[in-house]
Amino acid sequence: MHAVEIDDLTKAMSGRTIIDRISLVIAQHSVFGLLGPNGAGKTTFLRLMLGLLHADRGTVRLFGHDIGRNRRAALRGVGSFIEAPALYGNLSGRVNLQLHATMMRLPDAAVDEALDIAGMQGASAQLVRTYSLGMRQRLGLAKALLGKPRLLILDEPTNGLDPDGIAEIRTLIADLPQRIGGTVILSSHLLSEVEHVADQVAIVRHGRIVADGNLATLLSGNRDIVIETTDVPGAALLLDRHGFQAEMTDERLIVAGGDLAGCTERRARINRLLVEADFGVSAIFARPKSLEDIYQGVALRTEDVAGAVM
Amino acid sequence: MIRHIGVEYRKLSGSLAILLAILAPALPAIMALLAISSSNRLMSWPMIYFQFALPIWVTFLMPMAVTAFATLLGQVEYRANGWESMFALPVHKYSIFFAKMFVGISGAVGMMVVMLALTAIGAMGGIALSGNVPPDAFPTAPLFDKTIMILAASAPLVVIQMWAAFRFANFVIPLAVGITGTMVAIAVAMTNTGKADWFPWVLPYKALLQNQPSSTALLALAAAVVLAIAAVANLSRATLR
Repeated sequence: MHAVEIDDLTKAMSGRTIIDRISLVIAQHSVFGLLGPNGAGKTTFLRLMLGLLHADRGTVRLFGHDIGRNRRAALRGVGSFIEAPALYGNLSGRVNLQLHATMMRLPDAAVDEALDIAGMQGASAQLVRTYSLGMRQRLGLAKALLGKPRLLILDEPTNGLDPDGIAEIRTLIADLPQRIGGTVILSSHLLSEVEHVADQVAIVRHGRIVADGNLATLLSGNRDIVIETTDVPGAALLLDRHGFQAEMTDERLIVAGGDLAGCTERRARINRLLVEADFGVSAIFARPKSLEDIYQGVALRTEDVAGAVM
Repeated sequence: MIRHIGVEYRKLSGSLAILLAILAPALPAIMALLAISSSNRLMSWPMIYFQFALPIWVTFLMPMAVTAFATLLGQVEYRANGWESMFALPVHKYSIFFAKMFVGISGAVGMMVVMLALTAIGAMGGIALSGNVPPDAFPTAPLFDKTIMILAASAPLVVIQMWAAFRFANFVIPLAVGITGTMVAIAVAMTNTGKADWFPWVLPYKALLQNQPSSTALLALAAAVVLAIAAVANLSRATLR
C-alpha cells in the first residue's frame, strides 16, 4: 500500500484553476519533495491532501483511505504543518502540545518525545508569545511530530527564518525519516532545502506537476560540460557547427553532457575540436546537474509552452 | 466531546476572554455601589435586581459581553491558525464546534452568575456606605427563577453570536451583528413595542418583564437547539482560515 495516492486532482478557486489534474503516488518510508515557486499551488495541493479543501474533481487516498469519504480514517497517523505553526500565544509550548495530544488521545509521554526531537524541551514552559520565529517553527514541527506520524506533511517549514534558523530546521528535517520511521512530504520553494533530504521530487508549476521522479535518477542522468577558453564566442560558433548547442555564461561555455558514459565521450570530442581549431582551452570538466538546473530547465520549458499557446 | 470541551477551556487560560468574563459582570455591581451609596432613598433587594441590575444587564451589557466573548473565542483560533490545525486531526468536526459552543454558552451563564454575585457585593457596599438597609430579605427564589428564564431566553443570541464569530475571520462581522442586535433590543425596550418579541436580542428583556416567562424561555431554548445544529452543520462544511 502506498502512503499517498492522488488521482486527477483538480481545484479551481475564483474561476482560476489552482490545481490542474494532478496524479501522484508516494511510496511509504520515503521523503518526497514538492518544489515550485510561490503561487504554484503547493499549499493548496497539500490542503487538498489533508481534506482542508474540497476537490472539484479527483481523489486523494492516504494509506488507502479516501480523504473525501473517510476523512478521519485517512488522517489517522498524519502530522502536518501547513504554512505557519498553529500555536496559542497565551499558552506555554508544552500546553500547546498537550492540547493537541489530548485531541489525538495521546499520552503525555508523546509530548516529551516530540519536544525532545524538536529540541524544545528547555523552552517548553515559556509562553509561546515570548518565542522567536525559529522557536515557533520548531514547536510547530514538534506539534506535527506528536505520536510519531506515519505521514508527515511539512509546508515551507523554514519560511521567514534567518540562515541559522534554516540550517537548524534543515538538520532536524533531514533526521526525521529515521527518527519517526514514516513518510515525509516536504514542500518548499527552496531547492536546496529539498535537494538534501528528498528521495523523490515533483516540480509544480501553475498547478501542474511538470516533472517528477526519483531524485538520484533526475540528477544522475544529466550532466553539463563546462568549458573555459580564450575565445568564448568563437568556440561557441565552432561547437554549434559541429552540432553542440553551447550556452555562454560569464567567461564559460556550457554544453549538455548527457549521462555519465556519453558525457566522457562528448567531452573528449569537444576538447579535440577546440584544440585542433587552435583555441586555448584552460579547463574542460563535467559538472553534475543540480536540482536548481533541472528546475530552471523545467521553468523555461513551461514558459515556452505557455508562450506558444498564447 | 468531553476531551474537546476540556481543551477549549484550557485555551482560554490567560486570554482576554477570561478578563472580559470578569470585567463585564462587574459593571452592574459598580453602578449598584455608586447608586445606592449616593442615594437617600431606601432600595429594596427586588428593586436593586429587577429594576436596576437586570434591565441594564439583559438589554445592553449581556448582549455586548456575549458579542465580545464569542468574538474572542473565534479569534483565538483565527489568530493561531487553529481551525485548520484541528481539522487536520482525525476527529469529528462537529465535536470541535459543539465543544466551542458549550464553552460559549457556559461563558454566558458564568458571566450572569458572576454579575448577580458581584451586584450583591456592590449593593452591600453601597448599603454599608449609605446606611439604608433594605427592609426585605434577599429574593433568592425569584432571582433564581428569573435567572434561569433569562438564560434560556438568551440562548438563541448566544448561538447566533458564536456562529458569526466562528464563521468569519474578520472580527468586525460578529461585532456588527452583536451591536446591531443590541441596538434593536434597546429600541424595543425604549418604545415598548410588541412587534419584535421574536427577535433574539429582545427575548431576554421579554423574559425579564413577563411574570410567567416559561413559554418564551422554552421557545427560545428550542430555537437555540435548532440554530446550534444548523450552525455546526454549516461550520463543519465551511473552509475556515
